[in-house]
Amino acid sequence: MLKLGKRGQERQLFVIFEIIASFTVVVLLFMIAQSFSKGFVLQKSIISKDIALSIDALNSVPGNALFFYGTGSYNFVYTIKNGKVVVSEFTNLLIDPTKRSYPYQPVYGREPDYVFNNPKLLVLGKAGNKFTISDSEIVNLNRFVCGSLAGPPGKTMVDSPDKDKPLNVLITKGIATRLSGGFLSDRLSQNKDLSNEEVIKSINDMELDTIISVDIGEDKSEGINNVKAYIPSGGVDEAESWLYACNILNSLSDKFVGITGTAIIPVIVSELGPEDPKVILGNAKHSVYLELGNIGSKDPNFPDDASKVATAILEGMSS
Amino acid sequence: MIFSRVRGKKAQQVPQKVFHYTIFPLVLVVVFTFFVGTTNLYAETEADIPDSVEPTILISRFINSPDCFVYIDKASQRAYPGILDWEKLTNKNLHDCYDVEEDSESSAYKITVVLTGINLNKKAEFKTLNWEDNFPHNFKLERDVKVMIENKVLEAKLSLYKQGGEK
Repeated sequence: MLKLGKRGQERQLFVIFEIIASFTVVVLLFMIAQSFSKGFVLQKSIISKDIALSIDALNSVPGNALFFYGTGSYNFVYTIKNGKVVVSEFTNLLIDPTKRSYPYQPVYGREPDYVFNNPKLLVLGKAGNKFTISDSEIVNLNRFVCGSLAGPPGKTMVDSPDKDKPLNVLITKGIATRLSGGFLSDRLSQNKDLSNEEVIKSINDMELDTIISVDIGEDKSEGINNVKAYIPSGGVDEAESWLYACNILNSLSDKFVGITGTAIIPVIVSELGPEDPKVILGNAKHSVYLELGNIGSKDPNFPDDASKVATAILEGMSS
Repeated sequence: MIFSRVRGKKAQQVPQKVFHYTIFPLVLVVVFTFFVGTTNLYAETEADIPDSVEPTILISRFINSPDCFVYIDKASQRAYPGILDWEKLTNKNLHDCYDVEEDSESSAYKITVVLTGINLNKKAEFKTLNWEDNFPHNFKLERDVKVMIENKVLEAKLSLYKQGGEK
């Protein structure tokens, strides 16, 4: 074996360095040339600008909106976070010398944070307070923009006046009790038919903070499965009832994909007839009367999972 | 010639080493940077977008989005796109709906809203965090808007000034 002196070793090291550096540069230049010849550099630039400007445009829409962006046959990686859309050929952004990026201007609290590897389609959605980007997920466009509730709903009852489609009654003194204790199975009007007057008297005796009453809805078109939330019009607590209705509707429409529309409808309770089940409104600090689904629908049992409905309502009330 | 004859073999190797250790890596870096720069410049030039696109999208956000300055009726919670709430014309609301840091590379914006009615001299002005007062704007866009002020809807002009935007 040839023995090298100090200078010889130094020279050998430098030759190795030269070979590695030259090889790296040649490989990188080859990658750039290949990317350029296939049109990838230009496409990455165009796509990053398209997506960034689409995010800005969607954030400018006053309501809810969906935008479908076909990414073509390119096998790119899309990194959408920290105010930038980066389009690259590799998951590790550092090894792509021709990655392209373009900034977007996020709205506070709706900062996207996504990485997609070779998606064929990107679905950008703005619904309520949420901004989502996905490659397959269906976005719930029925979401409202709601505020946060001032505090826990207090002593609450969730009731269903519909005898054929009973929903668990919930009587609780706060969120903690509700989460640990689950639903009470006793239904206020399960075993006997009560008149509206008797129901209201029972409610008043219970001194409820919040009442959510659930009934089945009705619509002429059989393809419709809407959810309507009635709230008492006027009064000090209308805004708070509106918040409950808003958050409950968002929660329900998130959980049930079949819901075709949602609405919040203020009603003047004093104008209602004595047998109208909505007279229950206004008998607690906050009250919401929900009409779910459509009895004339192709699927009159929708939504048929009472516990899922109850969970959605509770989650909405905890938002 | 005399000088080269005088220099020893080791002395001749010194400039060669200098070349290897300094010039060679430098040449590699310059060639690489030039190649990458030229390629990316080509892509940027080919995919260039007009200056007006981004401000046009953003002015729509400022005028129509409930996240920004749009008037929202307190009782019904209904938002009125196109009608700005005078009380909401603040830097804080602008930062919420255009969430950029001071050192952000994104375009910087300044907005002024001036009431255009008779005998009214009200003006609101606010800027994004990355706006530099010492630099001039490079684009301006104006829109006629309505402003809700003390329960009255009044005519106003919204001007949007843009700085930077070199991506």
